[in-house]
Amino acid sequence: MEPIRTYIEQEEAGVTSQEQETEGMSRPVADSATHSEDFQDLHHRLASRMFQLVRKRDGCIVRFNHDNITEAIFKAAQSVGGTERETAGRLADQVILHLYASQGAGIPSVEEIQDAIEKILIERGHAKTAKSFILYRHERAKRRGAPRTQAEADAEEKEKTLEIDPTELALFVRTSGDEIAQWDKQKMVQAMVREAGVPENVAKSISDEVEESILNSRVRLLTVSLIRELVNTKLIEHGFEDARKKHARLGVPLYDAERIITRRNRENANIPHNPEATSMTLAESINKQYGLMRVFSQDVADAHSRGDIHLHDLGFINRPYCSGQSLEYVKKFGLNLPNALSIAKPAKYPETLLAHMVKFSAALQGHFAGAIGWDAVNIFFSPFLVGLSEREMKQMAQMLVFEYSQQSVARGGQAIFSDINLYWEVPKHFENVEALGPGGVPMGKTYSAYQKEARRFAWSLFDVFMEGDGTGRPFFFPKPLVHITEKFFTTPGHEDFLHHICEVAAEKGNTYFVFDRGETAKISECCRLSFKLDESDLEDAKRPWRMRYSAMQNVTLNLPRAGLLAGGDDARLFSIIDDFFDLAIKGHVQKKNFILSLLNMKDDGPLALLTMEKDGEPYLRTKRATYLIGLLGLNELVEAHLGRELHQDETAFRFGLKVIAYLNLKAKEASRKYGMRFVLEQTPAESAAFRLSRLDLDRYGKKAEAIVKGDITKRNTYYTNSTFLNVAEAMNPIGRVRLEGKYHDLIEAGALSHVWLADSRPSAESVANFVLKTFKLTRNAQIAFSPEFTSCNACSRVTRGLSQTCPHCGSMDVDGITRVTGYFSKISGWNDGKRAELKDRYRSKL
Amino acid sequence: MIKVSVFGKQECNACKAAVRKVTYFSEKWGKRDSTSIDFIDMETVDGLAEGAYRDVYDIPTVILEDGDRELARWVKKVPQSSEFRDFFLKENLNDGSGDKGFC
Repeated sequence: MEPIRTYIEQEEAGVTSQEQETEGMSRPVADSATHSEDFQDLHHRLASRMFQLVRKRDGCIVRFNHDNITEAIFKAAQSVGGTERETAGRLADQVILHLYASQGAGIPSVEEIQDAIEKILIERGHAKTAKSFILYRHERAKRRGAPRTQAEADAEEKEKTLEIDPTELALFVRTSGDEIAQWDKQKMVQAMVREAGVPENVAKSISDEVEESILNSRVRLLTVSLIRELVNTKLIEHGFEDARKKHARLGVPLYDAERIITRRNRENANIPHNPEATSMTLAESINKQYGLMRVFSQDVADAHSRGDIHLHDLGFINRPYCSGQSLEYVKKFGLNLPNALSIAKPAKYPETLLAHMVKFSAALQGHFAGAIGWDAVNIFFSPFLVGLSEREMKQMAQMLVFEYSQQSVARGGQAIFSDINLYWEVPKHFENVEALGPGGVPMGKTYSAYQKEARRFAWSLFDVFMEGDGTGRPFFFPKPLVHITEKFFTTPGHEDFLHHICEVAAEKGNTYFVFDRGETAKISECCRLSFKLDESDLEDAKRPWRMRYSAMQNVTLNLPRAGLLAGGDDARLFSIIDDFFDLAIKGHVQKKNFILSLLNMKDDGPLALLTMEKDGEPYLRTKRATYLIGLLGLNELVEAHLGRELHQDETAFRFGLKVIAYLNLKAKEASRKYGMRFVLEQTPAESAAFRLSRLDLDRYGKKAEAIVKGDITKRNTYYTNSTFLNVAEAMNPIGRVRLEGKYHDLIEAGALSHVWLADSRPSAESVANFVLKTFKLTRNAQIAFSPEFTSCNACSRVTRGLSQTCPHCGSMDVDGITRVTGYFSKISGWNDGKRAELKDRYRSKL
Repeated sequence: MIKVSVFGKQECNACKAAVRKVTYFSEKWGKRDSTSIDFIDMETVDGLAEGAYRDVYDIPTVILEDGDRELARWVKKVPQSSEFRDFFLKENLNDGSGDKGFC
């Protein structure tokens, strides 16, 4: 109806202002050139359709009669000598248009119509008529207080007979399509039958009841969401609960929408606050509801809602969880994406290859909920880097890091959660693989022949990480993951490189040390996720573009709740864990089926990109997908069950191992049963650790208070992440890494230990020594060192440690920066649980 | 007291061979009564948890201990008798100096 409003605005702004004062309407209003008869006709036609009902003073609704307004105006005009009924009719049109413009398509009251008549008469220059109308109205109001005359009683009775038959109701309704549509009861019937399978006779009966409710109400703005909810209420009353679910409408309350638009989303610290991010959050809220109502069964959805399990990334229900891939795919096939506006052939220059990689990452970010990881980036870039000078190599490294760290124009204004896996040596599984060069052409040499370029590039990347961004802050993305293998220690220059990356770890904290002991090979990404390469994967490594991995979904088990419910009984504990685990598996199967249904739509579906088959297989190799069973709060489970935390004695620690071993074997058993690869993962739990702890506090009160971490009085609480030991415990860092590492072999899909550094700045040698010890003496899978920074927005300087004010200029406009879970971010974006954890973290000095 | 722990799986022939071998030689060297030999099944919850606690990540893994002190470890192989004979025949092995403790 926008054109109508525009029309009215035009008229009010210009056309009608040309009307002259016409005493008592004794003279017809002179039409201007633009105020043609056609225009009047249009007004009249529009006005005659605007309202079909009017609410009387006693609340009852009767048919709206345009002529009544004309008559009222004309009578008032006549009383001061007016004679033009036609002018009165035109003014009545304007009254109706004004009513519509000012209050929408609801049901106007008699008082509102009379207010509008007064306004229009005055504005259009009919002062005397207006005065007469006002006096008449005043008189009527006075008389309403007095006993009715017979004539009035007769008139009222006559009006009652005009009350309409509800079946002929013709309301206007604001639809979901942003339009005003005519009331059509049949649409309710059709929706109930089509969407929810309600028998037609029942649907008709319900629609009659809903219509009756609307008529009896005092509703002023009738919207389809309101009608739908009224229908849903009736469906429940008639015992059609399942139909009600199918007939549900998804959306957010106005209040929530306003908060989402005006306030920062702190569920994920990697979400900025801007219009794109708020749009994403609004979309996420609908996706979440859709997921819980349509993708997952009621028992799984309820288990999530009450906090037995946590279904991750429900806001991105229409896509898999995360992916890891090879640059070789882009090198070989270029950028040829479904529905793309243009196709790029394989890159011939390193800058072009980088552009393809970044663009493809952005495309993938739109198809996966989480991280986008790239394997052996420096190795696969190497054939493009031959002959580059030091300056050019550094420039390439800078471009790569900045391209990823500044991708704030991607989905929801987020930077892409990006990981680059790096090797100093050419890993064993790529040693004899023929290198792909510019134009996607095989180079006739293996990657081993390009070791020099690969190493120079890796070195340059860490030069860039060492410098930080334009103000010296650490880069948040991409995350550099250096694989430390047995071969690393036999590769020339490894001592210097280790020193270099340890210097970056000590200074900026970026380096992740991924330990691939023995024959282990993996691609790492996300906060700690890794895809272990099995024999078939290593066979794929001979054609590395085939190496594409995905986790379909992550479902985390609320382990502390199992501890709270078990009451110290082992059998009960494992039985509850079984229940949670079974729900998680069920959720995985349902998510898988949903994604498969989208993938089966091929090019016509929303996941067309993941179905493209450049090498004979779809991009998303669903048969190789993993299904993550997330672990959260093992420490609190053990505390609830045994009264002691993991670090407090050997019995508690061993019991924790027993729980994880149990889950490990259950995952294997489920994998065999369902033909899906279920694996345990240390859940990053950025929001789940907060959410589940709060739910348990609400549900279990004092019992939960005894184990939940953080500030209980302020409800800023959290559960200890995954299998970590209590973060507040003052422990020797190597002891922590050793003990936490004992869990890591049981957690196939990725594990990590943090070394929180705060403002201490260890030497590169100390870090290197720590890394060597961790590799050789522990089973820890991955470690990262996390310093803390204060970045001043006033003077742009960065200082070590967290301060409320800038130590240089004293400004309070500062950002605290450190790792939230597995990545750096500004603390201002953290949820209250994570902030509480930050407060508790025991900072180590190496 | 010598303690030998063989971490393995039921269907792993090398694991069973490791148990038989250690048993045979401990008897041969007259040390069977002062030797405990355990097979720890890594396909059970307790076995897997024990393996994780003791940093066992492959099978067969044979760990030789004197009390709580680890004397030797063989990973993914069945040790030669010559590799563990000295541990069996040495006197006064358990002086407790090598205890690692919990943390």
